[in-house]
Amino acid sequence: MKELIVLSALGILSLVAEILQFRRIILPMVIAGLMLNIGLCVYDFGNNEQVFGMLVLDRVPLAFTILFSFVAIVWLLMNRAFLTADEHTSDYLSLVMFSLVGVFLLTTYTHMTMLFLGVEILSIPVYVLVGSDRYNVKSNEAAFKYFLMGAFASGFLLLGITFVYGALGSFNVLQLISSSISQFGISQQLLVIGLLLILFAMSFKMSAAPFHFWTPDVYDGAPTPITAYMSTIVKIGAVAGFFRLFSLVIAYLNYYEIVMLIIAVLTIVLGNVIAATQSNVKRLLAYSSIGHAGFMILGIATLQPSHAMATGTIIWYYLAAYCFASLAAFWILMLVVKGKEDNDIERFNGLFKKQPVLAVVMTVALLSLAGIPPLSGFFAKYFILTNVLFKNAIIIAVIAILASLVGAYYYFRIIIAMFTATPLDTDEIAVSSTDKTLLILLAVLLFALGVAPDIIFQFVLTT
Amino acid sequence: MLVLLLVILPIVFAVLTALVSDRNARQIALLGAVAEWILSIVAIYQFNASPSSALFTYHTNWVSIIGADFYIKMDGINLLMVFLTTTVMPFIVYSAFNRTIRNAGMYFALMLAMQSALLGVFLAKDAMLFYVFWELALIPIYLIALIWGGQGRQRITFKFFIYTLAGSLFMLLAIIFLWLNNPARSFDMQEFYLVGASLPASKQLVVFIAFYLAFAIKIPIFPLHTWQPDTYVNAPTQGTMLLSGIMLKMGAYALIVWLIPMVPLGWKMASKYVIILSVISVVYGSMMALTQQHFKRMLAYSSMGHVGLIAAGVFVWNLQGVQGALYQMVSHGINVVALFFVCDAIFSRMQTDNMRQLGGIRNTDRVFSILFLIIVLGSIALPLTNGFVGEFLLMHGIFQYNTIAAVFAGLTIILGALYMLRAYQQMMHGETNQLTESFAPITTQEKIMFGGLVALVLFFGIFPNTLLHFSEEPVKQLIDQVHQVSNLK
Repeated sequence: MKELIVLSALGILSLVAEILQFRRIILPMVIAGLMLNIGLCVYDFGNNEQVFGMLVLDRVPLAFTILFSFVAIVWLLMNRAFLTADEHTSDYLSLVMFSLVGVFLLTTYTHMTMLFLGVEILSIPVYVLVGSDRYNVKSNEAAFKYFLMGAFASGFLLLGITFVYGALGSFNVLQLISSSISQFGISQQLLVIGLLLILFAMSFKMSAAPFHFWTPDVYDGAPTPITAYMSTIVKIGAVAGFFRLFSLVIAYLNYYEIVMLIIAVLTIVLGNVIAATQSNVKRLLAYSSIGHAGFMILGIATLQPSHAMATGTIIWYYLAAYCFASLAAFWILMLVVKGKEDNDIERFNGLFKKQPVLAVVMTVALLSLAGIPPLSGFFAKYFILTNVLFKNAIIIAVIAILASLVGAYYYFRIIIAMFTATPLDTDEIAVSSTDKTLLILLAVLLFALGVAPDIIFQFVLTT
Repeated sequence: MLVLLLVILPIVFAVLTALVSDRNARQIALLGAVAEWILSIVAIYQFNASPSSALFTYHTNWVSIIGADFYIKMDGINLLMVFLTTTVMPFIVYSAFNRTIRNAGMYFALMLAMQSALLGVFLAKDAMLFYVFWELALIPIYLIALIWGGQGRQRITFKFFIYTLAGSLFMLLAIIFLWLNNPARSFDMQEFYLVGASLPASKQLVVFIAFYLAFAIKIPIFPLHTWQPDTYVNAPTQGTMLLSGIMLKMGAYALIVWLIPMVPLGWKMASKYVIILSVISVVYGSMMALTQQHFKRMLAYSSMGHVGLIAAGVFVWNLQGVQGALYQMVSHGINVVALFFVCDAIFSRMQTDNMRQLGGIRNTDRVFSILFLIIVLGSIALPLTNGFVGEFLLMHGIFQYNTIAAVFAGLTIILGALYMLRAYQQMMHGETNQLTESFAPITTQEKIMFGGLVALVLFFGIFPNTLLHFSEEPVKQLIDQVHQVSNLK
């Protein structure tokens, strides 16, 4: 409950900052608030607090909250110039904070109205943020596209929730755990279809194939800071919400396993193969984020009833590895293409000569995304594959491995450009020491998580 | 704990090297490499006194969710590999001293980071840890070859990377497969031996092939060698030394301690074919070396011939073969580093390593020609040099297995003498020509390098038992263990 209050208060505080004229200090205040939020989560760990029977703050959701709060802090620091550039500081910040409330609801809900509210509170501010570059046609187009498709998905979600309510007579997901499907009699079709519709709506939010068509255009059209936000924090919300639902309805997972596996494999293959054909780094990262979403869905689809919490930790670990690497990649992309027209790979040519630190951090981030040990991306993929192999789905494991080899190919195109090609121009790339420090911190985190993944597992599973 | 320090020390120095200015980087790096060497000598001395001491084991939980442990241990077999790594490393670092290098800090840092990874590969007793170190060793060498390599390096290094990564992914699948068959859900080496040996023969063969692919690419063995000559020629000298001196020993070492004891029946079924492939490798590498005009490319192919012989010696799996392979790995590591340094010394003066254009260097620099000659003799296995001990044991081992295979494998000695002496003759003897007239006498730094390496060549030719007695007992045990399993079934 405290976390929810803190996040909402930060949103309201950002809104009134303009009126009460403390706009200048609002960014540090928000960051301090998020740190407080992390502290509260750590304090609450293991208490399993219930909030009006609608939210349950058990371990995995709190771990997700810590993760997205941390990612949000890094994101805010990374975009401090973007956020304070014009008079819209408090608008941007309040939109971001409110969408974080949505993420929080998505990670902790047990009641399906909270699921719907979470999705909407998360999405609506992001629609606005995507279109925040008002005079740019592409940004407008992206916002419109995202809004239309998102509204459509919300429709599916509502319909699904209604169906499940029709079968269950309750909005509480926890009731599903204690009941077997046969006791619903005639209404069991309602339940199955309802959950399927929710599955589709959530797949849309996670940009899983075949519901991914909006992703590249929206990621490409949105301002890069917002793209970074969408590919990290929004993704945490969507994946956590998805995981929450399907870890609570494990009893019914058999009905969806095949659907989810198809979605997962399609997503992994499409994401990685199309990414290999991109020359625009922003679109490349968009497609690669689709591929990573596929891996996470694969992890959820092969959930073991007895290992539900361990699977939650695995997904958490994957998200952490993916988000840190993604943030670093988007951050460096922003620094490299600042003031340039396009986001082509050629912009990275010779980066090692211009800014060795950026090139090294980018290499670490890309190697982690490609899943090369000892970086955290390796164990992230490895844990998922172990889950898959426990289910004896060897073919799926082989497909996933081959797709990540394709992934290695396009990540390495960027690495090769950075280290060997001659720069396109002689423009200096200005990087502040704060940027450098934070980027190095991200690289160290990627390394530390990869070398000692046990720290996380010990914390979440045994604290 | 000592063994943990061995793995960590180079990486600490790597960080230091990356942080100091480019001007001081090489001194720090050399300090690190020498400190590591001293540490390893202390460790070997201690090991000689009490091999089972707790100093040589470090075991702790690592990734408990999958049961992987951080388990490193020094034993009689990997002691030789540790010795090789720590001994040639100072030479590799020192060889770059008088050369101009862009971003020297990062260059040396990557080299030291790679040393840590290599030591990790040799010392790991946990399959997951082994895999992570194995992959970790790939990144620095890839970057070294990519950033400081020659023309066309993007394509060549990418090929190298994809080849080795694909190989390791097969190994990873095999490791996961064994893990799933292990009810204890751990990656411990001893347990993997038991799990692997208890599998039915057909499954052992599949596991054998998956591991073989990873190791054969690294060694490299025909027909998986195509990445090798280009990468060796293209990489900067120190990168080539790391690759040929130490890194390809990873594959051969892994054959001995991981592959064969783990799947004895798989080995039994496949040994005939893999020995034939190794022998083809020997003949092919040596023949290709004969036809080369460029010294560096010739060395690359000759290296392939030598490691082919090592692999054949491992696969025949008798005491002489395996001991010879281990000893030859050390000798070949020392010799090939020396030879690539010769190549670098010549290339940095003449701007070419085309042997036809060179000649008569002996007339301008006698010291160099004598030192070079001793190294050449070591590499063609003349008695009293280190190459002789290894190759003799290897040939002895292969002879026990099959005479015809030994005859073909023996070609490496004859052809080796042929191409090495021809190269020496073309470059050092004959009339001094316009180009070689300007050959500047070797510097003090180069004299120290060559002097040290030549001393090693002679020392290990005269006193082979200093190293061989460490590995004799463990190798005997491993061989008996495999033969017991493969004869029972």
